[in-house]
Amino acid sequence: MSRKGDRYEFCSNGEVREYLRYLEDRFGIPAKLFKGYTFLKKGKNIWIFSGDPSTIRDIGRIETIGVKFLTITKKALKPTTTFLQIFGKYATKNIVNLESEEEMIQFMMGGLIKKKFNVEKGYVIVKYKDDVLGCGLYSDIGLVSQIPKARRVDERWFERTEE
Amino acid sequence: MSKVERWEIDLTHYKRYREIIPNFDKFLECIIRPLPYSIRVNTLKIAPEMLIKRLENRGFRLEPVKWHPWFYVIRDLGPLGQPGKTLEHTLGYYYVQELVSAIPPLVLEPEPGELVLDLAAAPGSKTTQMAQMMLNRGTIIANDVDIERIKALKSNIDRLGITNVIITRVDGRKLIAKRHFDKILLDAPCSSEGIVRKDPTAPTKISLNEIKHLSRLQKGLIKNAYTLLKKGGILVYSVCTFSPEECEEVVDFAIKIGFEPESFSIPLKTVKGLRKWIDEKGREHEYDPGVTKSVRIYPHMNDTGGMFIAKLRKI
Repeated sequence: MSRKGDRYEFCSNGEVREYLRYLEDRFGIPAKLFKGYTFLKKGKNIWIFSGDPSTIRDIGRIETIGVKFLTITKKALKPTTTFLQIFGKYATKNIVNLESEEEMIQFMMGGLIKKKFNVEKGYVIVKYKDDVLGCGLYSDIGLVSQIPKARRVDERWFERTEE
Repeated sequence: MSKVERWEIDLTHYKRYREIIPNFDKFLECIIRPLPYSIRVNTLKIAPEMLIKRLENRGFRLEPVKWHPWFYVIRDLGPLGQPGKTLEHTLGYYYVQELVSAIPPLVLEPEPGELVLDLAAAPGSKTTQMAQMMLNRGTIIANDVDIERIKALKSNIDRLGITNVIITRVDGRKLIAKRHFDKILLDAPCSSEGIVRKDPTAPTKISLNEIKHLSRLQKGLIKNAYTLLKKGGILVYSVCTFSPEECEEVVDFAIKIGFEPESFSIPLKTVKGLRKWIDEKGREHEYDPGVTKSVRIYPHMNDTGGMFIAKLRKI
């Protein structure tokens, strides 16, 4: 029934080291935060799980496990918005701080912010005030929101709400 | 936004509980009144006082729930009109959860490090509450049979940042595991007679055949839960309904297969599980005395939805 890429497999120690080094190098997220976490792969996605890894082999077919952590794209590793909303607060670099509510709404609607930011090109962590909003892709054209459709806002939610 | 004070609902079905439910007229009067929304602060992501300040700035009027620091009743939704249309909700800072639905996890008391099964988990209000109680440590197996409901469960897990849950999708009567669980929550599929205050479209014309069918399903689930639970482990059984066939009759069955009922107290007014009752055909039903350790939560006694809860230990 199941073929490779269709079910979860444990990541090797080498793979885990590579992912944690990436988080540390690109975002300054310390690797030691992930002590006790288990990393699994399924297709092009890496998942992170804080439960007891020995339970995995003791139950039948697994639908999902923990949360999606990274997607392996052709050019780079892409952290998920779900992951960044949990661990992004520990980052020290490649963070875009949006400056206005308009920018935040635009980003959370899945839009493009045509502006220069002081970050490296590629995937970045996007914040507004104290909130980690999620993942953005920064390039010459600006900041492209990577917020998944199901996690976006509607601009009408923000009408008449700020005094 | 105009506020509906009462719903037009056909309450004929509920008449079968006239002799069971205390202050029955008050009960009928209460269940046609919409229930205010309530929320659970996701303390894995934000402190309650921070969130409340932010939601009040958006126009919500919130009242803390006396018996638990994570819960608030929304007394006024302000200009938004809906409880989930905020940035804070999108970022997973809170979950819209009915107050009675918070009780079964509080009775089960899952702790960090334990192995817990949520046998009928979707859409995940109780799964995510338990993960929050466990501080994302230990393991929850969240099972449901319905693919669409599992999508909702998955999306709530992502939004709330829950990392210790494994989702499985099988008929809960057939779930197998090579090890036993410390605790099991069985918030079973039911006729949902207790949720009309929240959802006026919930079916109020429930056939007795349907109730019997659900009762059989619930017994099947509780039977498998017995197999899956470790010796000495705790099962909490809950349904958001009033029919004794889905409440005491299922607990009576659980006692027969080896569960021992335990007393417990909850921060709401409750009525003991029924030892006896007479159905519409005049037939008397009598159950094991242990069923009286279960509790019935009635809408008119607490201004909540309805719920039945039993705490059972595998001996």
